[in-house]
Amino acid sequence: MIPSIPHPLGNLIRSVVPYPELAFAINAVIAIIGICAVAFGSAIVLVYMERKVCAHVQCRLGPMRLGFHGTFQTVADTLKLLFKEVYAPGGADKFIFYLAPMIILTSPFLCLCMIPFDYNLQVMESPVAIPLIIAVNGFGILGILLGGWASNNKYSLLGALRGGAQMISYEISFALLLLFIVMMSGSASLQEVTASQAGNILDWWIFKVPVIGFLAFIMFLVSSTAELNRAPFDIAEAEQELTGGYHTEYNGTAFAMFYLAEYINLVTTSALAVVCFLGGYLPPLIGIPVIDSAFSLVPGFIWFALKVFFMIWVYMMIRWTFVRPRIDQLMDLEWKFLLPVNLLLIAAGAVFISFGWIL
Amino acid sequence: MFSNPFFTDLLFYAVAGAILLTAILVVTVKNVLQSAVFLIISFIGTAVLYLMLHAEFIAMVQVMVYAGGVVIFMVFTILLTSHLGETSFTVKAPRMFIAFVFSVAFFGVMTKLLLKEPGLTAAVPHSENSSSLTSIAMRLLNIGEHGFVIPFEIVSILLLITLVCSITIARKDKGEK
Amino acid sequence: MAKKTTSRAYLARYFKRCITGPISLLQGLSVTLRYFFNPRKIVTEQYPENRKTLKMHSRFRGSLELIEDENGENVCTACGICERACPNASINILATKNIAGKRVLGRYLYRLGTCTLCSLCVESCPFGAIRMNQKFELSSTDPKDFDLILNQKEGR
Repeated sequence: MIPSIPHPLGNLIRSVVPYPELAFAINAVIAIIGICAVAFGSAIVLVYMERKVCAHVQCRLGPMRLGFHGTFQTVADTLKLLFKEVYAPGGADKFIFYLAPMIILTSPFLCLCMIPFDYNLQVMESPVAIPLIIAVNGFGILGILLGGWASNNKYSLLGALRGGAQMISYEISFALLLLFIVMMSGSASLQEVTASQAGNILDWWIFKVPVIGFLAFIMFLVSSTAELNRAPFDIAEAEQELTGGYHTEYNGTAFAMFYLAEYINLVTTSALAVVCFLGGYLPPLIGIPVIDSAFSLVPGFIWFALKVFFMIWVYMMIRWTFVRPRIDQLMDLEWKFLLPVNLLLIAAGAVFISFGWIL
Repeated sequence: MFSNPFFTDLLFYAVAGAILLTAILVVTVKNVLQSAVFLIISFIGTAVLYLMLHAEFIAMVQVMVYAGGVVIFMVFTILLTSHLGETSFTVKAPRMFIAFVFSVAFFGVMTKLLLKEPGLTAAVPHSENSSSLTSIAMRLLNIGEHGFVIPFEIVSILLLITLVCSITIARKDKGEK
Repeated sequence: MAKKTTSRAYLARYFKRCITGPISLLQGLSVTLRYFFNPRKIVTEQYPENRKTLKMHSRFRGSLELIEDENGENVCTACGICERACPNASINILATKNIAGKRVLGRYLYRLGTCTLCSLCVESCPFGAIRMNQKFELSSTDPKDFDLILNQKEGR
């Protein structure tokens, strides 16, 4: 019993290659290359997009010189970052210092493997995908804690401790909101969660459960922004107070890995929001037959990419609009507002299910 | 997992070797934080072993509770409390002797128990859907002969009590500034 | 110490903030969204490329200049008020006497190198004879370029 991808490419290789183990290995390599391409490609695109969105929000133009409207600016920046010398500060624990960026990269890559980009475009279909995503999110916290400690810098340690406390707190409401979706769709597999939203646009979970679906979506935005350590919840790397937080002492490739993890996390969290609330790869059917048939012709992964980029744009607008709360305000928001409302939301969800108030 | 048992064995020995190596490193490394890191790798290796036995849920729980929860809190407490690098702990001879005796005794008992079962050469075949999320949930929340709803609720009340107690301990008294 | 609040007042404030908080966030978001979808509001100039068309704002202070008509005549009376107003002595007025024996402007010496472009001289001039122009490409590799004589003709 070999895990298999029901994709034309995978089936072709399985039929051509004589040994099933060899076919599995080739398919695994293809999947790894695909995931890496998505990860690195999206990171480069997203850094450019972030700079452009930030610039336009602030009445600026952003990078304009290299290529058309500065398209190649991030490529150049990445190359510069990769060719920099890598060194650890004196007194740093070298082993943990270089291990931390690798630990922090594991969770986004694992999450990316479980995202269904299309009905047959997914590396790993797991019946426990949502709990597994919640589980591997812990590695992000671990990487931040270890990286901050190993830098032998007070700013780094403070940033790491703050970031760790924040992420542990917000992981609770993040997990509870995902479990809300599990409760609604009756499955923890992302494929089945997507399939449960089939139909027109009103069948997506954000609209399907009246009012509380939208409330859950907004709360998911808040808690995932905190989980991503992005502004307005970038307590871990608040520049004005902590210079750079946990990655103050990192440079070159190691810093690039932190940066990469941040942006892949942005992709995976947006993808998770799309799968759980916005219908995944399903086209947004609006009930008019002509438009619906035209929309259905577009492949699922294109809809998925469009929705993911919309979500990323929403995250970016949030980042460049709102101001950063203090650490105690942040904790108040989680423990005194988000968590009680979350528990009420789950109870209300149970009521909605039992009375059949779902559209 | 694989149709050819050779690959399954290969994977098992690789993972088991990694677990053993990291477990040894946990106790030999001088730095507490480094041993925590090795502990995590060892836990993840155990999760991979569970996955090879098709116990996906247990593997997920292993990652979530041990690697994601327990060790992170351990790292947190190490960062908050200890002065790393200032003191290096030394192991005294009598303690080492006691630890040696205990581990040898444990190893002996385990091998004795394992050798009792003569046919135990490979993983026990699992029944269909034995570890799926649905079946576990059905068992946990079911009433009747195969249901565990009463223990489940009692455990949840226990957890609630723990939560309330920890808040009571942590909160300031009225007079305290 | 924080003021003591009753639990009822605390709860009232809590629920009030649950309403006002999102409203204020939405107000902020509406501002940024307006800017995001209005490319005309962008203020960045692509400087070396649009050198020909670049128009500075009227408030911009470049270097100092005398207001002259088309014949190069100015209205400066060499009173020296600007010289005294200048906080770092960047201005020297060298007066001469004209044929009628009246004190007129000989040379208006202006040292751009020490000028902070504070525009106090312009504000102090009682005759409106000087202004800050809008040149901003002032850099040079030769310090002599910063010692300027502003008037082309002597005063009358």
